[in-house]
Amino acid sequence: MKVVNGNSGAALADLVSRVIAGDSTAEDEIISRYQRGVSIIIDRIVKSQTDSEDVSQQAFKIIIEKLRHGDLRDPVRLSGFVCSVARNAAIDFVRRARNSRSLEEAGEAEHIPDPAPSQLDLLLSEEKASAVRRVIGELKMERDRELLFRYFIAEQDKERICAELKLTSAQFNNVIFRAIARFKELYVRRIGQ
Amino acid sequence: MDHKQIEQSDLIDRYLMGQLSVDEQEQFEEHFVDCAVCVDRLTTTKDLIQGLRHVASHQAAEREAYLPAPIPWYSRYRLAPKWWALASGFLLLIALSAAVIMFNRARLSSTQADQARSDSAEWQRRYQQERESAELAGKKHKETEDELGGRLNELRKELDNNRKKAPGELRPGSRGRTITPQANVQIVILNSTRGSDPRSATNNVHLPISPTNFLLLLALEGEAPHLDYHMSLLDDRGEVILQRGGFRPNEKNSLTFLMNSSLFRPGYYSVRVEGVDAGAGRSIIGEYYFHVTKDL
Repeated sequence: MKVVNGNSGAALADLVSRVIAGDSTAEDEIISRYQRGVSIIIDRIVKSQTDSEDVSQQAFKIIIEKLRHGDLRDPVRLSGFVCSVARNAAIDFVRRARNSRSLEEAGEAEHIPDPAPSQLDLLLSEEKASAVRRVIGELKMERDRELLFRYFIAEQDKERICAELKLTSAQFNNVIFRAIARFKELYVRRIGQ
Repeated sequence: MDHKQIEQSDLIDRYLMGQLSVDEQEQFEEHFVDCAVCVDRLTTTKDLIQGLRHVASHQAAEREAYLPAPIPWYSRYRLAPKWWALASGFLLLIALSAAVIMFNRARLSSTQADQARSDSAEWQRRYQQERESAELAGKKHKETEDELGGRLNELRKELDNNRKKAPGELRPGSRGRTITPQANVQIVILNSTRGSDPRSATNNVHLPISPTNFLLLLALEGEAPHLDYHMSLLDDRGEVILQRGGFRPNEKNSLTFLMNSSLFRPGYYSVRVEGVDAGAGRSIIGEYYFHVTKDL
């Protein structure tokens, strides 16, 4: 199955040219189109929901400015360009955070990002945990609970888990699929879309 | 990149767990950043993993709370009671052995000290006895000398009296002195001896218990004649009891001395005879040892 993102070369070229022309709706369209994906990229590097949002804003600011200036020569490469800017912004944020910690230790820091999770992070974390408990509680087989923990927490190889729990790859995937589906259902129900 | 490949390669899970290579990661990001389906799967899976980690950390914390307190390092080396008993017994044995050795040593030292004290006391007692004996002997010797001196004076007086009453014949070699002839005078002939120990005497002299004069006759045995002879009577310790000079040998080349038995007690004596020359120098002619016995 070929993934069709609705991003044909002509459509992307049109979108980029509109940004260069100063069309703000085109900028909104870019943001809305890439926002969730960029968040995942940044969040994986920054590891903080609150900081991730800040870095995302910064990344999109850079993306729009570069597009306005016509820095992207091949519009078909827009997704790669967005990913690249998002990664660099996240890496830059982490580097600055490390430097700030060094300055903090040296007593010269002016602004130090708080490494502790925010209230929102804590709240979301609790909600996720609650949903997970529910999912785990609903699992009928101890084997499935063990599979989830060994795969996602202990990060053991899929092949090893299958061999030790005497599962086929399809059975393994089914357990994961059902758990994710049930979790999504419960979690979305709790916090909404 | 298509979804079939993503499913088969578990890219979503591996991406979230950081198990993709840099190339795989960049390719997958380039795909999902503009793929609502993948973003949705990624978001849900990421939330599930976070929830699982949260639950796992809570469970671990709860387990830790119910776990027994960690064993201190010093308790890890706690010995079983039987080993404690063995170790205690062993230490007790060592202590007892050491105590016995120390006790024996102390006792030995004490015994040696007692022995040393006893020896010292014995030596001190012997020294005291010897000193007392020496003092007693000195005292007796002095008494004997005094007695002999007194006896000699009596004899002289008696001789003078006799000389005044009835002048006797002069005896050759008596330098003009007169002596009263005595009948049955014991004549003791002494032979010279070569040893220096009075106890090696072969001459035995038996004297009566009552004071009696007797003659000592000493053969000079071919000695070169001297101008004069000097005689010393010595006891067994070599102390001089009597000394006389001016003797001359008779025609048989013998010297005769008149002695009184009161001078002697049972024991060993010697007569030392010295020749006197013109230069008044003396040379020993001979030693005559004899053993005196007396009637009881």
